[in-house]
Amino acid sequence: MAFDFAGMAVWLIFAVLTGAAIWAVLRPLIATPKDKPASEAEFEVTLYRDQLAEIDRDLARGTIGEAEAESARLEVSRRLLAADEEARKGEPDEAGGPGTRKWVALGIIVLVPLFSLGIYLTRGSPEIPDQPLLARLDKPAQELPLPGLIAKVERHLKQHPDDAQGWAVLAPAYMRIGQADKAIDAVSRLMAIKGESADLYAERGQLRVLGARGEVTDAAREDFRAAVKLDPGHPKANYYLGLADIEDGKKKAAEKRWQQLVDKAPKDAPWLPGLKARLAELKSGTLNAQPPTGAAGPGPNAADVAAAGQMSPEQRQQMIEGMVARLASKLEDKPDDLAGWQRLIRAYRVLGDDEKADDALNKAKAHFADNRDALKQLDAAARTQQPPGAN
Amino acid sequence: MIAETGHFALVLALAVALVQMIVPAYGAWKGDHAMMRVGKPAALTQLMLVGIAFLALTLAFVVSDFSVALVANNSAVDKPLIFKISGVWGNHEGSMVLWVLILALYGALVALFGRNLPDRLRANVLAVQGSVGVAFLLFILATSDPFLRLDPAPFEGAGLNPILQDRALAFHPPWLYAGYVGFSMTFSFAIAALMEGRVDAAWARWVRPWALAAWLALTIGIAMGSWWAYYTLGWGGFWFWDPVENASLMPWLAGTALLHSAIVAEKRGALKSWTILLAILAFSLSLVGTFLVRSGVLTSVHAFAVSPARGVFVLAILGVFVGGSLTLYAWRAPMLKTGGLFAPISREGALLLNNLLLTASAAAVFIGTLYPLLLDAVGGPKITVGPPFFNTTFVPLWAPLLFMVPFGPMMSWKRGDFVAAGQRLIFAAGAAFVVCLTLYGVVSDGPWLAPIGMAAAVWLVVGALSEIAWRVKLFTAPAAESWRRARGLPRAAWGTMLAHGGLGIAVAGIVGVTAWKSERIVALPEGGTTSISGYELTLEKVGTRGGPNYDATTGVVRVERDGEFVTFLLPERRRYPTERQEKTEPAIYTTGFSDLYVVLGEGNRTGEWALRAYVNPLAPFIWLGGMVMALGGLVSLTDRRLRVGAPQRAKAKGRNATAPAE
Repeated sequence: MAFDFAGMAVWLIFAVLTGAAIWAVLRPLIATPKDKPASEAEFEVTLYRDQLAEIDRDLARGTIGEAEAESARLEVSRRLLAADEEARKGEPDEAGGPGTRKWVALGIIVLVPLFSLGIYLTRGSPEIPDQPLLARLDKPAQELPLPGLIAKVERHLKQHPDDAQGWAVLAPAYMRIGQADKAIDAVSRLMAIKGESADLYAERGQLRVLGARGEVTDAAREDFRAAVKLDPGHPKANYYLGLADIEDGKKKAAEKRWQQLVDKAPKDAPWLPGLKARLAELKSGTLNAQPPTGAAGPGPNAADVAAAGQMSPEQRQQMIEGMVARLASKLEDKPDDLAGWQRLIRAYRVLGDDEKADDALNKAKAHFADNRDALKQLDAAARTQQPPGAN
Repeated sequence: MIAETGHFALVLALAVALVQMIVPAYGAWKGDHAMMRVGKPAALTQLMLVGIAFLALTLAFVVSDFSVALVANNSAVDKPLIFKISGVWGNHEGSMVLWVLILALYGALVALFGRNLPDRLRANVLAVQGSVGVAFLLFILATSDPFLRLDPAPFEGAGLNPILQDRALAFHPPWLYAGYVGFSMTFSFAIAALMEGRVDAAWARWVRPWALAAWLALTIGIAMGSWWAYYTLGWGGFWFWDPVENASLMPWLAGTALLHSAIVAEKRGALKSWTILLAILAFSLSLVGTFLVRSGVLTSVHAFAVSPARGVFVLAILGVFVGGSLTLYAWRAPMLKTGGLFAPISREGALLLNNLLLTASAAAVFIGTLYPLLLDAVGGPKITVGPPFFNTTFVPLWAPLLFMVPFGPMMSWKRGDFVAAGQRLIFAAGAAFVVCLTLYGVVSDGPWLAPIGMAAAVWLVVGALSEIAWRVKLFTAPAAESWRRARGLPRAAWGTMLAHGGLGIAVAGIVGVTAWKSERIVALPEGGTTSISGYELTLEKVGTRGGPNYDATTGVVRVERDGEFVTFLLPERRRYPTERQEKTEPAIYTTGFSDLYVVLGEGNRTGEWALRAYVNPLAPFIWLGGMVMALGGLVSLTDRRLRVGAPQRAKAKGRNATAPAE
């Protein structure tokens, strides 16, 4: 690993700051005492002299009467005399002495760095570098995570709003982070540049359907109809129009539409088997109106992941904890799932819940007591570290 | 690296603030001058460290470093630079850093210019100032850390509330805080005096510049805030008696009282104990203001109860500083020597009356603002205390106050002559009377009190001018003599004139808008015409345009008067996509004496647009008056009287000897 200059520099800056602060504060304590400072009484004498002069000025301006000025002068003079007397007496010598000062200085030297470092280490993140946005977006597109890619393309499009390629990239990207509105808008922009086409209408309609969680909304229907107008045999548009018919309870119309689609389809169309299956389901009455939205397995489906992208950190944490709890209860019922146990133990470790991780490890070990390989794998899972910076 | 440096600097500032709180105070107690002198470098170091933290935070906002959580939650890439910077204090955490920065700035100013302060007083003042810094730095680090990081960092921030994306509001908080925090300075002086058990004329003279500086900053802050409310909230109101506004008005009222009582304490050595109490009150009310705005208690008492960490912390700070200082006051104040005597009819007496009326009005605002909150907190019914309460309590208190203002400067110290002062004001009284009668004759609409309000405004302005005219013997002495006298007048006298005259100008504006505002709400198609107070408005076109981070629907309104073209006004409705919010941007045409104020509303299906137009007579005077008042404070601040020299001893030939003030 390369020597981490930035990482070292942070500590160097901290040390310089601390040193400078301590040096500044200590100076009066270690400096050789200058001539004795003026006493308070001497400050007062100066002030009262000033006030006497002011009474004369006030009198000249007429803000005070002759008689009142005289009595005010008397008041101030009396105070002046008292202060003057005090000033002559002088102040008692300094009481603290060099001994106390040494202890105070030592206290500052030791406590200021300890205190600052102590608090900083509990709250700071010295390992995280600065990340100005423009510098981050300068990286090549393939090195950026999806939101970064989107931000980069968005900036590009702000300068070149007529770049069709950009909008074409954005639409599915938005969809993947669950922002259907923006995805739909991107397709509209694309259409404004490239002109309307059956494909784009169908694409936008599909995004509208996905954005509405599977419902074929009025706006989506309009798009599909527009697509069919341009290309009567458009497979995607016709498929969704069929779904719309089903939503409206017009099963016969849907059946007819899909059947036509199947009849006209090229033999090697990738979507053909799927469509045939759904047509069969429709005929037998087992069709679920909602199209499947992703992997049908027990894990999170695409919609969950997309939703997670929009969640606040608390909500995300909650969702993860919910999934872990589901996994745990499943393993209680079917303890034979070795991979499941490994996932569970790792998940607890990542969440920082070591107690539950150990608990799960013991349960799993008890179940696989006579399977040496399984035990090894479980131990490996248990060694998972909590990632730095988590929580 | 920059963000972490800022974070560490903030922590180190807390450590230095602790040193500043403990060492000088211990030195003052033990009589050790070396330890007392630690206060100065500690205050300067604290300014440097908080400054570094503030700069680091600002830089993170400017370069959109979304790995800083605060930036990610409160900024966006496309925001114009000025709003990226103002976004630093457009949120809770950043605004607290600004608060502490200004606190450190005041501390450093005392350290730098406090050479004419006795060592012990300066040490105690800086120690108290340090303790305020400790409290707020702890608050920031414990509950509102601005430097918490995000990893991985997002690629876009949540943006800044569009309402805050405005030039006047962007620079309103720094002024307001300079005012609030400025009163921490007079507070520190008050506590230091109580700790030493002595308040003398010298003390009052040292306090006054700080009270003036705080008051002038707060005046500007409040005026800017009300100006912003006027042109942003879209219906031409300028003051709403809303708790956030009241939060700034309370310390202003107490601070105005403090400013006046400090004059008495300084010139005549009287009212010392009262001045100390006012200094404590002014800062306490600033803290109450901070608490009201920062604890979330205003959105709802229940929101405060749900996430109480911040609120409880500010409440604790409030308890320690207000409770502690009042206890100290109760214990030590009776030991203070009483000062010079004065007759009830005298300048001292007039200033005392001013103090009573100002504190009573501060109390009225306090009750009106906090009573509903308290009632809600103990489970009582939800009530709102609105303008009627404040109008009925404020007007009876301020009517005699405004009447008395011109008399104050006309009175002599110690024993004044009411009748003679009245004679000198005969011209002002005559002018007010004529204006009042003329208005009754000419203006037929508006409330019957309005002409009397205008008379009060004229009375204040002409009264303020009369004082100067009398002092320089204008028209009663040769012009050359008057000119000589005018140049001899202390700046404080000119400051008084500006502040009192400015108040009159503001009163005129307030009365004008309140009494004679006219309003017209219409739905117009493009090309449609309406009229208001002699103006003909034509909605020529409604179009859209793109701003840096918003899209706007803009109306083009052609304004004519008596068939002559006057101007085009462009009211807008703006949509901010990042923040997903809208705001209206009124367009204002001002003649200097009245404002034509136009707001574009929603469009309807038949192609008509809601258009609201107001004519606000004398509206610009409100803020003009505020600025003139602040200018008065500034002029007064430069008075040589406030620059007391350091003592000079014949034997002291050191390089530290300073020139005396005179």
